[in-house]
Amino acid sequence: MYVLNKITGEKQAATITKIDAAEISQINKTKRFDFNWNKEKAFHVYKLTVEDKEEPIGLLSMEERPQDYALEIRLLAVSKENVGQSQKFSRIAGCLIAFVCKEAFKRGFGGFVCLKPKTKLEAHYIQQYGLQSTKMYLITEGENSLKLIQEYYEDKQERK
Amino acid sequence: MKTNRKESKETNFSKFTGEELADAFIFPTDKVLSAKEKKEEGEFWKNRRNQFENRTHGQKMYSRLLQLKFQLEDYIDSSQYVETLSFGFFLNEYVSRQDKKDKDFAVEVDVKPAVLSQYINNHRKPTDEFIIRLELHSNGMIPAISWFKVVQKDKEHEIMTNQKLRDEESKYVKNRLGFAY
Repeated sequence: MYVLNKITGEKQAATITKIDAAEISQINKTKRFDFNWNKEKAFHVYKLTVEDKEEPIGLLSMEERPQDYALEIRLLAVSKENVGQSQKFSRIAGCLIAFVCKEAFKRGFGGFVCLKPKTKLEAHYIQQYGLQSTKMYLITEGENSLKLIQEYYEDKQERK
Repeated sequence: MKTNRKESKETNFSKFTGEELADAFIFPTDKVLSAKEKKEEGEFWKNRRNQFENRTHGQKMYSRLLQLKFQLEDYIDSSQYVETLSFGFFLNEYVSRQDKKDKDFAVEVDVKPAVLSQYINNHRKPTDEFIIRLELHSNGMIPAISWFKVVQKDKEHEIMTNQKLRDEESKYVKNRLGFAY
């Protein structure tokens, strides 16, 4: 899995790790991310870090819904310096979404992941990540989730 | 009511395009659902459960095999060694998740049932040929390199912890370095 350094054009290895309540508080205090992440402590929160750097550049909160055989993405944000055209790294959100897809396969949910989109962003999520629209949720499962995993986990140049 | 928008004053989301926002955020859903929306949400999850529980035999098997693939990949990428997660364990899972008998699978990859049993019980190290056959059998779903890395992980643990072999080999080593380490 890698993110793209837009300044140097280099691919840099990315790692996603689960964080506990203490680390959530600590990151929240830095104000490097939008939203109040302390409200996500009851859920599964992960950080994305790039090789050789401790500071995360992406955060994700997801809820496991075993009774529904699904993972729901509750909240995702890249660090403030990575929002918009002046971003240093691209692919952060895609890596985090692909990570949830992989977790959904590992839990035996067939890669089923859903999220409730802001209405005006729905079309962008569909276009960027191939999500399917239902009345309330955007979903990905099966082949599309596999495609996202391949897109964000595998370096195509290294595959062949 | 409290909302999850503590930092919204700091970032002016309106200055970004929809594409840029979708590339950076999945926003929190603070909205309180109406009775109609709650009903729709209930129906959504009911449909999801029905869809999952009524999968065909083939779909269930495919899902189980993908689960195994990603569990195996996670294990080989982790720095942890777990004794039970051996090559034999994953091979046994690969066979049983297809609802196949060992002897039938042995025919499919052209090895004797006794040899397959030795692989599954970790009494024999798999050959490169066998590992390649596993990749071909899964149609590339579980690549040979993943199987090889599990074998490698078992081997790494063995070499690090084999005191008996160290004791046996000790007699062949002379003039050892005297430096403290």
